[in-house]
Amino acid sequence: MKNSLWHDFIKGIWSENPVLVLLLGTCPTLAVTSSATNGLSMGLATTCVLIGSNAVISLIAGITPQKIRIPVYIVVIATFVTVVNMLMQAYAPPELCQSLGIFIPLIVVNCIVLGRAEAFAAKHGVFRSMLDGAGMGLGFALTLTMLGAIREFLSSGSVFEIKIITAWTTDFLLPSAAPGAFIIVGGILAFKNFCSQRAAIKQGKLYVPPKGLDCRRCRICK
Amino acid sequence: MTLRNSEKIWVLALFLGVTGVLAALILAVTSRLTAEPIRQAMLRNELKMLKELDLPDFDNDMTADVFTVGGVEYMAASCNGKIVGFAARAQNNSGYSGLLKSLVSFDVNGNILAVQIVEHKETPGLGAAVCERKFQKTIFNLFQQPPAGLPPNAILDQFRGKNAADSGNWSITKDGGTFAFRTGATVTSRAVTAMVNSAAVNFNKAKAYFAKGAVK
Repeated sequence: MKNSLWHDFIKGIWSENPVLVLLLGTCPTLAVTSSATNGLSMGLATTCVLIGSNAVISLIAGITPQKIRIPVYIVVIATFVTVVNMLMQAYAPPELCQSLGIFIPLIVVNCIVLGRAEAFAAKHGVFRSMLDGAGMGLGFALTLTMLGAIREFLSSGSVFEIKIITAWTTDFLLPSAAPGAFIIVGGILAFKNFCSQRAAIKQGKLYVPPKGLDCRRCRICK
Repeated sequence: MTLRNSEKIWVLALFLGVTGVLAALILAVTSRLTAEPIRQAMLRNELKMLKELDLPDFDNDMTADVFTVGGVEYMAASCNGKIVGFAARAQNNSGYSGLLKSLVSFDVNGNILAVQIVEHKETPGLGAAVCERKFQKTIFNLFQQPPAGLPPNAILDQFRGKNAADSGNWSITKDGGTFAFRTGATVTSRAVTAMVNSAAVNFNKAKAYFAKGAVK
C-alpha cells in the first residue's frame, strides 16, 4: 500500500496535507482565505501549476547538476506560472480571470511548489510526480476552501457568498482579517494533530510525522 | 551521469545560463502570441461593462474615439449618428489601497446615469462594499433569477442624476459636502466621490469635443 500509485495521490489530502502537516504555503493560506470562493480559486490554480511543474521537473531532474538545482527549479516554476497567467488572461472568461488573477503571481512564491519539486518530483518518474502534484494540490484546495468557508461564515454568516443567516447584516471583521486567520488555522492544526495522535495511540504506537517531512531528512536548506 | 555530478564552474554556469535563455525564449514567444488576444479580451470586458451602464441604446463602437481631458477619458454613445449619452473612464489614487478605476455614464445634459467601479483593491467587507455591485444571494432566493439591471449600491447610486453644476459642495458629509459615506470606509468613500467628481467637472469640454461631429 505504501508504495502504490494510489498512495502517491491520496497522501496529500490527509496524512501529508501540505497546509496541516507540512505547514507549507502558509502565506497564501492566511492571506487569501477570507472567503470560500477565494480559497477554492487559489487551491485550484495551485493544483494546475503543481501538476505541470512536477512533471517538468521530474523530466529535467536527471540532467540538472546537483549544485544549481534549486535556481533551475525556480526558473522553471516561474516560467510555468507566467505562461499560465498570460494564457488565462487571453483565453479564460473574464470573470474567472478577475477572480483568479491576483492569486496566480502568488503561486511563484508558494513554497509548496518548490517543496514538492525538491522532495518528490526530483526523485520520481513523470507519472508519479504528476499524481503527487494533483494530490498535494487537491489537499491544499480542500483545506483552503474549508478555512475560507469557516472565516466567511464567522464574519458575515454566508458561505460561497450565499447568506445562510439572513438577519446577519453587519460584518464581524476579526475572522476575515489576518489575526482571525492565525487563530482559526491554529485551531485546525491542533485538531489535526489531536486526530493523528488519537489514531496512533489506538494502534498502540507513538505518533511520528511522516518520514519525508522530517527536517533532518529534508535536503532543501542543506 | 557526468553532467549531474559535475562540479566544474563552467558547466554549472552554462547550464543555468541555457536554462535562463530557454525560459526567456518561451516567455517571449508566449507574450508575443497572447498580446493581441489579451487586448481583445480586455476590450470585450469593457464593452460588456459599458452596456450595463444604464445608457440609452447605442450602436457605435464607443471605444473607437476617446477624448482625454484632466486625466479622464470620455467616450460618446450614439444611435444612428445622433449622440445619446457619454461614458467616462476615471481613476483615483487616493483609495485605501491602490488605484481605483471606474466607468461613469452621463446623459446628453451631463447628468450622471450610473457609476461602476472597474478595478479596486479595497479591504473586503469595508472598502470593497463601497465599490462592488453584487446581488445578495441568500438560501431563500438561491434559485431565483436576479432582478434585471445593475444591483444596488447605496454609495454609488447616490450620484445618479447629479451633475457638476447643481451638486453644491461635491464631497462627503464628513467633509462638509452633500454625499453620504460608509462608516468604516471613509477613505474609500472620499476617493470614489472625488473620482466621480473628476469625471463630472470636465463633462462640458468633452461634450463640446464630441458635438463637433467627431463621432462616426
